[in-house]
Amino acid sequence: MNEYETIYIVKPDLSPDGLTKVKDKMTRIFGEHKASLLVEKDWGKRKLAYRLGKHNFGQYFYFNYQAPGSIVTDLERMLKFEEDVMRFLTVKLDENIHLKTESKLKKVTQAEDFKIVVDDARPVRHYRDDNRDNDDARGGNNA
Amino acid sequence: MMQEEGTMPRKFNKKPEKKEKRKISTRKKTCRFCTDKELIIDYKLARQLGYFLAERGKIVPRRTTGNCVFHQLRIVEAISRARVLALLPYTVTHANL
Repeated sequence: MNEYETIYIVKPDLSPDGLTKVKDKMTRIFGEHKASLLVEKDWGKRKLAYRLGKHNFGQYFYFNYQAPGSIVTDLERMLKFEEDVMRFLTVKLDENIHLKTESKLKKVTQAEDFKIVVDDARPVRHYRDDNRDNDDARGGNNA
Repeated sequence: MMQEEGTMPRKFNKKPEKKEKRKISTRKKTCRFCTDKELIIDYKLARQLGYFLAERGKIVPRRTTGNCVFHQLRIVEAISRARVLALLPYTVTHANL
């Protein structure tokens, strides 16, 4: 049993049905591998540092869980074939949890509570005018 | 050295100019992560990592930031992870064009 965290970015204009569809597939794989979910968070819609396809925004989802290592290949295969998922990343946080007497959350996972702001990451320069960006965000919310 | 006729002088008879000594700043930079153990390096904290990116999105070298090797490697790892998730840019040229 290891501790992992996975983040995936979904297209900004995806319908709520599409979101639950991806999420259901995640939870199904968690169930298959008997993973214990520690943290599950919706980071919401944030501005990307660079364009992915034609999108300037993306919806981020964060999962922190403990599971055997075989889950990673299954999860990543699923996310790879999913068309609405633009990017994903899995990071191993801790190894061999079942051997340890105390499985406490690491500092890395606690850092998740910090406010993460992408919109004004320092080196990013906004060449596009702001009105167009807002339109993009609004259109996503209506959909 | 005597100069033979018809040949070019090997050296100009110039006195070597004295080089101005540069003022080297004596203040020693210290690794901010070694001094403050509370600071966390994490790829999710994009704003903190943005400090270690130059104007063009390059990673700032250790000699300017003053980080130690141990923490600089962690920063590099974190920045490369954040770049995958579009939290930080690879370059500024195609950022939000």
